[in-house]
Amino acid sequence: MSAPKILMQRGLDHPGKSHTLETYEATGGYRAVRKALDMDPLAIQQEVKTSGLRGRGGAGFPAGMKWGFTPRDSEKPKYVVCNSDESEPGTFKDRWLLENDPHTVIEGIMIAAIAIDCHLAFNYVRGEYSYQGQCFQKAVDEAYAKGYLGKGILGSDYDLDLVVHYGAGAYIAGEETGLLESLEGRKAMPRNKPPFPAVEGLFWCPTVINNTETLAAVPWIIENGGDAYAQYGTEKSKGTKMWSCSGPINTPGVYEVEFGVEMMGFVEEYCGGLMEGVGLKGIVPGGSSVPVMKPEQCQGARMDYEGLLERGSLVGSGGFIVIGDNVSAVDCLLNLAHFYAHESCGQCTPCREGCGWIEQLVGEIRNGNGRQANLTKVLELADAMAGKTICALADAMAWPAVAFIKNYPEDFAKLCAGGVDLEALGEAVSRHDHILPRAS
Amino acid sequence: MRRNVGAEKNTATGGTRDREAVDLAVILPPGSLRKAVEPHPAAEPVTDALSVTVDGVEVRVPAGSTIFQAAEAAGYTPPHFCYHRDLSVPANCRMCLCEVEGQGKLQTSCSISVADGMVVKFDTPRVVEAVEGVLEFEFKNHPLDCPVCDQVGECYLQRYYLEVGKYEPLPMNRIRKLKVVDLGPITMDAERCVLCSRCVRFGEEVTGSADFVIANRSDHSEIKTFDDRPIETDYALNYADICPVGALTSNDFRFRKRVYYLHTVKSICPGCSTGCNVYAEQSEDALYRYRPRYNDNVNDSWMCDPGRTSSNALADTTDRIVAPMARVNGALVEVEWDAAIAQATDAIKRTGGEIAVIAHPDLSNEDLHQLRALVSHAGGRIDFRVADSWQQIDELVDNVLIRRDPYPNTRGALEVLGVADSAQSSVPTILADVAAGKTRGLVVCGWDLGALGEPGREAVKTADWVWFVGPRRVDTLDHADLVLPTAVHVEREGTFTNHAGRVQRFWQSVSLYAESRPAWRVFGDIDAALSGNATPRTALEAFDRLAAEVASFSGLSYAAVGDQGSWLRGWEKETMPPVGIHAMPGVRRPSPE
Amino acid sequence: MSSIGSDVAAAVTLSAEATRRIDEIVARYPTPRAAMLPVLWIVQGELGWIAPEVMEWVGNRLNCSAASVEAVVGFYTMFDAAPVGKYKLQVCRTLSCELMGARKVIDHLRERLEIEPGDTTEDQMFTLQEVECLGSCGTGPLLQCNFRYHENLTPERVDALLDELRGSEPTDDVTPIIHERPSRDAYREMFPATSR
Repeated sequence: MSAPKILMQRGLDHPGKSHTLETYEATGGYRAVRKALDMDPLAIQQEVKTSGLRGRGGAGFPAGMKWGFTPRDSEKPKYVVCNSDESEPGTFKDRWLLENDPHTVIEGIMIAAIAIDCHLAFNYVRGEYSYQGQCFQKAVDEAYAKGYLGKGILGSDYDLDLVVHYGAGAYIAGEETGLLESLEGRKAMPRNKPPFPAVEGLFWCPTVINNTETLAAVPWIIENGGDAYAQYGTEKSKGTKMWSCSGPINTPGVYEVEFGVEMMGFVEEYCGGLMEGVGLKGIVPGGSSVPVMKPEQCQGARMDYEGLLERGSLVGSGGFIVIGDNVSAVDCLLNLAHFYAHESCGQCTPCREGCGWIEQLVGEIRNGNGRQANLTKVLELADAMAGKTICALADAMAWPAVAFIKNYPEDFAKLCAGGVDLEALGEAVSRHDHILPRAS
Repeated sequence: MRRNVGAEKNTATGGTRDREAVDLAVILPPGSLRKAVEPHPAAEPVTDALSVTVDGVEVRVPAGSTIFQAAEAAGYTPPHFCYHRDLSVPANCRMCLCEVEGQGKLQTSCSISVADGMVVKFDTPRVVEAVEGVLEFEFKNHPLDCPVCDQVGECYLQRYYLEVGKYEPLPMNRIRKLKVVDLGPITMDAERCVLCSRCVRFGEEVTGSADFVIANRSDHSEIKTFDDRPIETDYALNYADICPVGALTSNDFRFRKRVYYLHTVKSICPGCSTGCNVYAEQSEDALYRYRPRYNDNVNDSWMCDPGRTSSNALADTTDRIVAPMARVNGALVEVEWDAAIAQATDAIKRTGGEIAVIAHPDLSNEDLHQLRALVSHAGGRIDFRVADSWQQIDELVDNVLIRRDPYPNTRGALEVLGVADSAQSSVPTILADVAAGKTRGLVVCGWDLGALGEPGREAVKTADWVWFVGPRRVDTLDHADLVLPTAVHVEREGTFTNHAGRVQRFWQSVSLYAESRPAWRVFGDIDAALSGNATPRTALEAFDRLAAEVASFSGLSYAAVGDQGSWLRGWEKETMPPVGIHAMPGVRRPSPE
Repeated sequence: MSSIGSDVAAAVTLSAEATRRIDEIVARYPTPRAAMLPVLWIVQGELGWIAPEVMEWVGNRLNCSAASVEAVVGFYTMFDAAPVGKYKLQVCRTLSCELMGARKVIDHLRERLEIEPGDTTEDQMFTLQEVECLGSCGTGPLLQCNFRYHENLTPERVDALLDELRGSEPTDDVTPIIHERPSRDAYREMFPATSR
């Protein structure tokens, strides 16, 4: 199960030094951007399209295609924004990149900028990542000092500035249009789409906004070619992914593997298996917004976009949370419901009221004051929320709500006053589980 | 006493039964979860239009229209909270959802531009279920305040709820927020708020005062003012209009009347030369409030607070003149109208051909035309420009709506009295002539001695006779030989002309007070006695005479003016810009804060 | 007073350095308003928290309404509209940390500091807050003290941290303190009490 470490090789080979410009250049850094400066911007975009690189922040949208949506003939300034507002529960891979290989991220931003004729780029770093932001800023300073950023980069006549912009504590600022609103100095309230950021984004100008991990893969792709990247992974999931592993496992951490590895093998080899005495209850493979998978669903599951979709879940951000059988599903769902209830921006009705309502209903069950009607209501609310809102936070609440009840009905039944008719509950689930992602 | 005993209640004069005068659509809040609304009257055919089918009904709408506007053209207003035609479009309430053929997810009709051939459905089980679901979410934290909430009867939430019936009750803990916060002109009850952000957008886009903010986030989101300060803008009461629920309510109107007892009549605000279109609402013949009436050539959906609360002054009858009065042995005594008219006619004949008339710019076009006719038959001069504000008739005080000229019909007076071309007011010379004894009769319409100044004080002492014509007692009455009480504009029908040359109709909303009469009838009766021309029988007839005799009014009629007004000849404008400092109606973006 | 761009006399005094940094930052953005978050960070860094006069000053500086500044301050959890303690202890309570014992750490802090999350100790030394995922899921439970992460915590390590903080002054160093991975037994002590 060895995989080419496209993103993490430098960090593993040069621990403690991989973040410096010196190490970066000694290991081939800043070659790709030089190449890009001599390429036609459309050719750069094509290379990324060929690579099959998909957004690694959670949505999985093909990056090259996104870049291609920016209008060629617009008079407006173009922007590139790197989304380092990593806040999806279970995810801590962008942090790794900012700390251990910030120059890769810088170079990825630079290439994206050249591909769309952008001269001012931003890296939006979540407010809590002060250390990671400082690491990145140091790398940016190094790049400016050597003339790799600023006026006439790398001896060319292309100007490019890169500004580090900190958030201040809001999960919803990780949603791409929420981030743009935040960067414009407002509350991070997502925008209705269309228009899409590629056409009307930052300051309503064409904007490419991509996750840190996505942009970090770009230098390798330009250096080695999109075809080379597409050799890795599976037919529809090209390349590698950094999975952030947590929970009662023996070796939590960030691991980069090719797409397509089998899940339980991954748990054994990379996560070190579960801690002694703890059995597997379930795995949330892509960050808390994706449906939880029961052990039978995990067995033989392929960790790529189609493979997980087949099993009813998603790659998402790759926040791989292992849940042990020492906890109740009710506690897990309540924990997440509180998260979404707290992080909802409050703009649109279903999410604003629905997340808090679901938290109250599950909380009642947790305290022994809930009945079967609470469960039916949670399922109804999830159905009423999913697909009706400005952004996907409502879906991110609705999916776990349905998935936990669907997969662990006994945990909930045990705590409901007056008992639960499991058959009726099953029927309620089947009325509303159409909202869960599934292969078409 | 309000009722004018013995006066004819002629429905053709724009009485309260006049079908034109009342707008049924404003009695209920807009939008419906059910297709139960009357189709709108056929709009003018549109060129360069796109074809859209809404629930099987094909309509043609201009390019750039949204599905919401196409639905309205088809006769259906989708339910909504956050959408407002004069504000930007945030699409956050999620009530106006619809199915668009070819799209998997439901779409918000307010934010999607139509494409040619688009097929849209509101009347499907999927849409109905989704919208009822959204409505249920709005209720989750909404307090059961209806018994004490002014919005009852004009509440969007209440209307939509009553259309869909009861929900299964489940115990739920409401989030508690600020209640009954006095912000000055309005009261804020944050728990009732549906967080549509209309108030936030109004403050940013129309007045620029940015009074409101949505604080916090998630279901703890709450409207509040910056630093909890009171609101100081002159447009605060618009917040009570745009708030679809009872979160922001008018202190001026608070607890005075349940709105379903109000009778709504179209009128014009008399506060300044802008001429905002309003609804005048009365119950049991008492005027309770004005609300703005939409007119995209004048005020869009807005009006100012001083104008709005001027309805209270109009409703106050404590200083109204009750009946015609004549001076007998040094004291004013009430007389019958016939006697008063006879006395007036005699007085004019005795002066032998020269009277001085100081008219007033809150007389209607019809009033002024009859007055001018009277002056031309009696002989004499007439002007109305006591105050200088007519020279700044177009000037805005605040970049929104309030103009420097505080009278509703200055433009009308300039046109109808034929003094538009004169650079200076002739009031000083008219008064000087009276004071010098050159002109012997003086008619003062409404002005008090303070306004007329020293020339006026001299004039009233010297004149052979002084008439006062107006609704309220002022110090001029102390020098008047004849007092003729006239009606204020809400008691009658008529037209004003606003600063931009737009003639606008107002209808009668309350009965004539005591013995007061419309001024056009008073002047018409005196003129009839002098010249033999019959008094107009109705305001409509008075207007038709005006249109026949004054060039800038030619071709106009009440029918042509309608309820949205009409330009004077030679004053036509293509479009008027939207009202407001940063107005961006229809622009699709989230709350600009 | 809350009008866009109104001329509010500054009742706020900032150091020359802070003013210089603000000017520098505002110049980097296409519109002044986009500098909102960075400027609020500088202002909070100097003044400790963001009072209404400060919001008016910022609104004036960035050509937007004071109301919009207040909206931003209330929206983002890291901005404080009221004074906080010398050390702000923010403990992550989201799923991965919860699975590994965050509740135990929070309860321990409540006990030691004798305050509830959201409150500040009487001596103004510590403010305790529960926050959502800090992006350190593999080394939870953890807390953020002002700007610095303290990872792989146990109740004992919390005690040691409190003692250390009491005896020192806040530092600018934000390098995460990542303790050694707790033992299996230590984890078992912290695992959530479950209703199973």
